[in-house]
Amino acid sequence: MSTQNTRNTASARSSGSAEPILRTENVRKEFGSLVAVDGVSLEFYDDEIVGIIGPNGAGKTTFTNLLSGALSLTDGTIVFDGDDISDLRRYKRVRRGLVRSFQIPQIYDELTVFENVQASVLSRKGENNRLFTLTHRDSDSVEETERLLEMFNLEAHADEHTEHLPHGVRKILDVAMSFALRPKLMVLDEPTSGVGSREKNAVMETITDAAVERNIGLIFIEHDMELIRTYSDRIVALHEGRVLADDDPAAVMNSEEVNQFILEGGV
Amino acid sequence: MSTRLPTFGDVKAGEIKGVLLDKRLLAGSALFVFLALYPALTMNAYHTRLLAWIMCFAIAALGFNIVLGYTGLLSFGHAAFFGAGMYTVVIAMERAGITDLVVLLVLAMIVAGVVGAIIGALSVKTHEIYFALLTLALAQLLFVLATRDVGGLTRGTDGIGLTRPDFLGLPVSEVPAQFYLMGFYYHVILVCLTATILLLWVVLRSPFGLTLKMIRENETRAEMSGVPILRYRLYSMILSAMIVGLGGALYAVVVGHITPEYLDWTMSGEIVFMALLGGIGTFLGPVVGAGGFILLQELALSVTTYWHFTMGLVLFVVVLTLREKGIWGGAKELLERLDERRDNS
Repeated sequence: MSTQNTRNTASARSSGSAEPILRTENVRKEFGSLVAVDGVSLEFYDDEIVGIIGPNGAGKTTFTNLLSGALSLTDGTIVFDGDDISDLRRYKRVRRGLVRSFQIPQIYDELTVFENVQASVLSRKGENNRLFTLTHRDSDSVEETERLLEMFNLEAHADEHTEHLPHGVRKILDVAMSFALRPKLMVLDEPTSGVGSREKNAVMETITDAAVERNIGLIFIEHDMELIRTYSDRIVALHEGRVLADDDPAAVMNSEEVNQFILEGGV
Repeated sequence: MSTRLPTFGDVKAGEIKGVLLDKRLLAGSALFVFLALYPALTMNAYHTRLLAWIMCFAIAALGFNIVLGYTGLLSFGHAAFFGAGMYTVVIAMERAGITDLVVLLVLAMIVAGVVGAIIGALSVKTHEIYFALLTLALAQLLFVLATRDVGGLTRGTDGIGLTRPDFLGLPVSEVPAQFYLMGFYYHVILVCLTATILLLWVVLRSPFGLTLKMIRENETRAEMSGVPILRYRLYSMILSAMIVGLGGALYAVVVGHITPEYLDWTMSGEIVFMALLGGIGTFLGPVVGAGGFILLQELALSVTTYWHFTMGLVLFVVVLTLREKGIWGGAKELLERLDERRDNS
């Protein structure tokens, strides 16, 4: 019933495909006796932005780790773009278009911003095995890298080594590197954590604009309810490893259960 | 202004001029000519031998640094590839009667590459100290096999003497021993070193080289960019092993007698030492390190029997003060600073 609602908002944004890009069926993860994710069944479409909320320990990060393959499933199925990817190796999920970015930016510190993005571009093109081309002379990937830097306002930092960059810029770079992989769906773990409150909106704006422009589905975990409300087409609320609510933002925010377990929980 | 110059395909004449006038290329060419003429000009057999020795190890240290400096894995088993190159030459000559140097070198690189693939396949899943210890253990296994003369190929600790190989059908092996090295073999080594430097210069700046750096800098990110990291670690081990094997094969003819000690872990240690001394964070550091190590060893041996102590002290100071830059990176930085100061004044 709630998904019906979402489909309507989703199809309002674009023609969209009827099939979800990502579907989890009864996904479960146990660590010993602790059940971190307890039978989560969700659908995600490539033309919507979904925010995931929940108190600490609700299973949000574990859920994204299951999607990316960083953790293996205890039970359940993950279907991406029509194929069962439950047992697929991590790098192969990425190659199919399921890409994640990281809460703590994962970038190559001793390389320049330009090289960081170009590395992703070359990986997406499957050109890691080219031995006899100089990367700085490879005009295709150089041009694409330049476009991406422009898109994320990183041109000014292009030749800087990343270790000296301000945190907000590192975050954006991390996202730019994920975008360079041309994902169909991107999972962002707290894209604005550690970013100053004044910059948060700018960071989210950059990310969501890029996603809409490139037709990429977004799933993002966020603690800041204001951001969630502003940028989500739909909100999924997790609590103790289960789906508490899955609906449009207004409905979720007004839900009694969500208010009881999450919003008043002092997140 | 370059628009008035003719163009060659995509490359402008101005660019070609720029490349030809490149400082590094000019300095490199001058050094190449100097080294090529050195034996004929000085007729100094001792120096020629020392240079030949240095260049063989420069190739090995360059090959080693692919794994340590670029992929970020510390291997303590590279003696296996060096020794594999050496033993391939001597065994192929003795058992299979192959006498052509080119064939022997290619064969040695292939065998070293296969040994690299096997040791790599068994070890690339591990990290840091575990990788170092596993490569060390696997290489020691080869050392023990060679010492015990398993299969009757190596004649144990006695080792095997080596005759001089010919070159592309020319009976160069018949010239007197001194002229063989000074008039022919030395130059083969010089050409191999130059070829290795040029090849690696391109390969390490290629998408492949960037991929190795991605793995060194952030494995998680590399994997989450769609790179099969274990496979690329294995590739880097194989490439590294082949080049170290080439260094070993060339060195086999220089020493003329091959014993299992070249497979021992102290040999691996010396290669690591050279790379660290010269600077693992620089491209040419390992070459400088090989030269520095061998010259220092000669020097220390001539004044004290405690040469190990001297070497250890030097490495300690270099690593502590210059870290991954080594003496080559440190020297480059010093020159840049002097340049800046000159510009300012």
